[in-house]
Amino acid sequence: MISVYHYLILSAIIFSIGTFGVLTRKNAIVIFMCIELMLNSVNLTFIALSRHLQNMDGQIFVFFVMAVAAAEAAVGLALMIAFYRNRESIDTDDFNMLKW
Amino acid sequence: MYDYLWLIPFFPLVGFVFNGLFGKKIRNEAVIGGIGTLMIFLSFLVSCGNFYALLQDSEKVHQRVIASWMSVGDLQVDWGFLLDPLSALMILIITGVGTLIHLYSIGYMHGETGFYRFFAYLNLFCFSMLMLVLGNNALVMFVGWEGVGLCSYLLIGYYFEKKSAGDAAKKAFVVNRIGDFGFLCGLLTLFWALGNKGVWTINFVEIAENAHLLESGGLIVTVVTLAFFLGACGKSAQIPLFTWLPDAMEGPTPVSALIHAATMVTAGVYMIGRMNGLFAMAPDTMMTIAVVGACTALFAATIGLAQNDIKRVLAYSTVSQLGYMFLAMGVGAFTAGIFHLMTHAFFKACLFLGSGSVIHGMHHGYHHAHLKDDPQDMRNMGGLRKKMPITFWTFLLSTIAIAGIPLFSGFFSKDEILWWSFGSNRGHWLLWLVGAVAAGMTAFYMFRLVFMTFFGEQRTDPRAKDHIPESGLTITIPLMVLAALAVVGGYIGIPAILGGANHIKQFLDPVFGKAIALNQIEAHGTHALEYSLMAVSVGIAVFGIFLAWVMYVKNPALPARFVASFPGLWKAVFNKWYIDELYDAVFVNNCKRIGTFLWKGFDVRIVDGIVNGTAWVVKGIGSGLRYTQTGFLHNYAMGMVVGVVVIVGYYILGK
Amino acid sequence: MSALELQSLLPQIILALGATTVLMLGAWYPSRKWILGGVVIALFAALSAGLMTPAVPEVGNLYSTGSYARFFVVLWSLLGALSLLLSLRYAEIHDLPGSEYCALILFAICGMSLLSAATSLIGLFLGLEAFTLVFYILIAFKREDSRGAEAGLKYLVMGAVATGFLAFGISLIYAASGSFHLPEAFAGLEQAGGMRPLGLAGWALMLVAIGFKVSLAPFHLWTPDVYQGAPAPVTGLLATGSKGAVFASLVPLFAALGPLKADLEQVLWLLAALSLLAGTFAALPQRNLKRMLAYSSVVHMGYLMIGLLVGGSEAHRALLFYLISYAFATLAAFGVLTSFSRVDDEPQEYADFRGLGYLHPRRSSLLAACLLSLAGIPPLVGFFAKFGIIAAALKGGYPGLAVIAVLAALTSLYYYLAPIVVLFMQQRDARQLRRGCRHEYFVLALCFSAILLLGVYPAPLLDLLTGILP
Repeated sequence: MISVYHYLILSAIIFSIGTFGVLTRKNAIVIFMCIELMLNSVNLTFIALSRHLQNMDGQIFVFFVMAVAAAEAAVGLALMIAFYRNRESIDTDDFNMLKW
Repeated sequence: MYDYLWLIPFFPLVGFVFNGLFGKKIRNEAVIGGIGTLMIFLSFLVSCGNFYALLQDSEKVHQRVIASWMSVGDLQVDWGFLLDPLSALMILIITGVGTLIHLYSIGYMHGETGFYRFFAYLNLFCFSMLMLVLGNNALVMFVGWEGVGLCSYLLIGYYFEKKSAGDAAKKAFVVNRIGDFGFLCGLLTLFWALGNKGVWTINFVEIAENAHLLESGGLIVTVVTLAFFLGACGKSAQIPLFTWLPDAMEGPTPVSALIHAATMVTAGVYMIGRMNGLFAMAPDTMMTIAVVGACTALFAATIGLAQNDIKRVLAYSTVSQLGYMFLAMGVGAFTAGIFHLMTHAFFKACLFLGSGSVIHGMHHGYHHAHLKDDPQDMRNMGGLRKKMPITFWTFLLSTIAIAGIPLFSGFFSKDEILWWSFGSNRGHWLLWLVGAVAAGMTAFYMFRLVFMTFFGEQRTDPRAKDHIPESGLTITIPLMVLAALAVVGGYIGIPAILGGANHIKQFLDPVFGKAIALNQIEAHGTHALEYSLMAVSVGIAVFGIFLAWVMYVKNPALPARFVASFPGLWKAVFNKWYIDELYDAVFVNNCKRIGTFLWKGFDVRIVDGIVNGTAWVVKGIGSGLRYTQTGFLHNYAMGMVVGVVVIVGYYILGK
Repeated sequence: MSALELQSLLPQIILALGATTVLMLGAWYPSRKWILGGVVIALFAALSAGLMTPAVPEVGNLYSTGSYARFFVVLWSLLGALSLLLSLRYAEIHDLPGSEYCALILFAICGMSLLSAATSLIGLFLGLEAFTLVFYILIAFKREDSRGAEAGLKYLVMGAVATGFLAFGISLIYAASGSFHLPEAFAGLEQAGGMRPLGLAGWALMLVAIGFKVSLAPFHLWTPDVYQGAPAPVTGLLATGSKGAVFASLVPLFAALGPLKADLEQVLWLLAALSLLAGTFAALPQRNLKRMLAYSSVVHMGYLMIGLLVGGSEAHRALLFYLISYAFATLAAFGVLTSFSRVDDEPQEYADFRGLGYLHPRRSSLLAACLLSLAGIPPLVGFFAKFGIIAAALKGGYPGLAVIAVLAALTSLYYYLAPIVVLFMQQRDARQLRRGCRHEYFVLALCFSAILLLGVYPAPLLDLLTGILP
């Protein structure tokens, strides 16, 4: 029997993988994919909990998270294009003009 | 009358705003200087009115609240003023001496580029200083306390083109910060301690009323008063925080006279006087204050013996005289301390202004001859007695006053301090001895100054020596008034033993009487003892003068021989006992080394603009932290994730 | 959603609809005059929030319409209007598209207003994301400026990660209590007088996200980079509004938490102390005004954290007062930077300011006044604000934090004075910068009178804050 805890543990694992990816990957697009992974794992939690608690609020939150994720991706891609036009790279190691 | 108390700080504020906003456009020195002087003179008139009203009044403590400033729960803080004999005396000194110095500045600062800036700052300073002494609670006092520090900083750095002026301003600022830290710590601890007893207040009158709630001589009172004393040390240039005051002489001379002699540096003394109820309850702190004061008095006097810069001698003399005031506060002679504060304001302001007049004349001469010699070096002076008669006579009278020659003001106040330091039950004969020796040195170096400047051969460059004029009226009038005050100012405090009524003691009794009676502070001894101590201290002073006369007038070769026979000692004294170097070596360099060591892996060259030791370490850490700011996204994200792991881990492990 | 509820949410609706309208119309009639239109819309929203009586106390179990919420609608609208006015000339010089810029700022204000009004974790999430998204764009608004793009990307990546943490944290709290609505969501966390581990983990994640948004150490690392890269007026709004709105939402959040807060105290203590120390140390060696202000904002957030930690209406009032005083001084400081900026660059290195006090005395003095207020020099408002926080810490029984706060305040003068020294006490080799325009002077004068008057006579604002605090 798959209980809600399995879902929670799965989503925690996915969330950690996403976080790990953000920390280790250099390519901005891959980092964005990892962030999507994090957000989607959260969605999974909410849906599982919503079912478990017999409460629709969780599913509503999922919609908002999806909307935010989509908007972030759109803005992020636009920013990457802007950055690429100036620096011809989207490698995060090239984000190095602002420091110290 | 008391309802117009707010006008006293208000007038200088108006002057500041006016000169600050329109001064640059006006350009007319007479208007700018006139407004500045008029404003402070108006507050002098109001101060006189209030002082007179207070003299007539049987009720001696008056509070006037202008507006509520803030109320935080039970704590109510007002924009309120407190007029009692102590603050009444202070406002008279500040506005009176202030008016004279403003007047003097019109002549002295003539032709300077930032004329309006100078008067704006000076007015702002007077405003802040008046807020400091008139505030009825510690926060209003702190407003003034910070304000005077800021103005002092601005005015020391007035000639900002000179690097030394900028450095001196920074040094003053750093040291004053340490003092402010003390003040704030004392204030907050007191606030907290009284709050624990159910009284949330920072009002001076209420603090005095509720001081008995704290344990007399207990840890809290001692800590609070020591913190306040640290604050006072910073403002009033006591050991170990005195090094900034001599450097502060980089500012224009009227500033030295007003801020660094007559008013701001006495704020620490005033503050102790204001909180006398607390200080009287902490004998350990009082002892510390007395010892620090006596040591400062002696130590600064020794340095004063060998300086050649006319303003530096006066600066060390100021430090030394402030030491006397602290000595007085420490042995419970609050009245004598405030009395000396007053007489010192007169004669030291006169001395500084006189030195300014001399420098002005010398500068004029050098300017005429297109020379770049130092107009402040006494070795280039001599024989100015005939060139500048008014300056000379006023200077001489003030010097006699500071030397403690009977019938002049300094004698009465200094003698009262010395008597208390011997006879008070909080005093000790060693304190007296130190004070008396320092008095002898004071007489010596002050007359050395007079003899080197005004007597003997004129050693000025021949091209310039005939072009040193007496200063104009705006400069000499303040000199004459101050010299007169320096002579007669002491007569309000003739002690009973000399047949006087000691008016000032009776006048200040409503402020200090309660604490003194409550803590049984008294000076006792026979009349014969008092007379003989008086005679001894006068004798030491006269001997000092005689020695100076022998060394600098009768036999001018003697000092050189003396230097030749004790080269090491002389050099040590001349170099101010290497205190600055010691601080550099012990604090600055070591901290520098620690800082370098800690952050050796990093680039240390960013660490620039060194001010002092703490700044070094702190800046070292700062520069280190800066390298966490790699600019790389991963490191930032890593910082965040580590934070998460730590917090979550803390909860999981902690529960 | 009933008509009554719509009416109650009118200010936010005015902002959102106004922004959309400006955006749409701007496509046909591109003009920088839209920015002035935005000012009118923001003022209109502020007026409607200030004068209107809401019909219902809470809208859709998401947003409160109480006096606390409406006060912040007014505040953020005013701040937004001021930064729009500041941007007018800036947008012209840098050739920024007016209607888009204006619409984005209005959306940001709307998001902040929603956040400060949130009564549910969903509302909180929505409000927060609404203005964060807008800031991603605004930071990189100068398209040719690669630094802006870099700053925007950095903020975006970090912000998205923080969003993930926030959402995950909320999901854990939801798991523990089964509700998003505020008192209930936290009431469900209680277990045997303490907080359930699930709740604790959820709060920990939320604190991380919040710490990121308001840049508390150790989550502050993005702050200087973003401040430096973003256009000055945007930085001004980012530093004041976006951080302020988060704190404004935290006050009711912690009030709803009640006694459970005890479990969070150590972490809050640590965050406050770390922010005070790290910000102070890092600000000291800075020679770039924007970066210095970034680090100093970390310190200010530490002070606000103290207010939050102490809790109770007095400390919360001190917190809000501090927030407002900080907002005006910071906005004015960035306003001066805005008004100095020219086509090619914004002056921000100290070297650019050398002796500027003699070329542009009014704006330089104003900058100095702002910095002194931030440093807490009486009688400017910053002093009183700091005193309120420290007094609250002492009364609340946190003497350790009070000592750190006093030390931080004293040290802060060093780094705040460094630019002032450069402005006024060094050789005048600065080149003439741009002349200010009327709008900028108006905003600057307004901010200056606020920091002076509130310092001398804060009683009315304090009374107001006492009235609105729940």
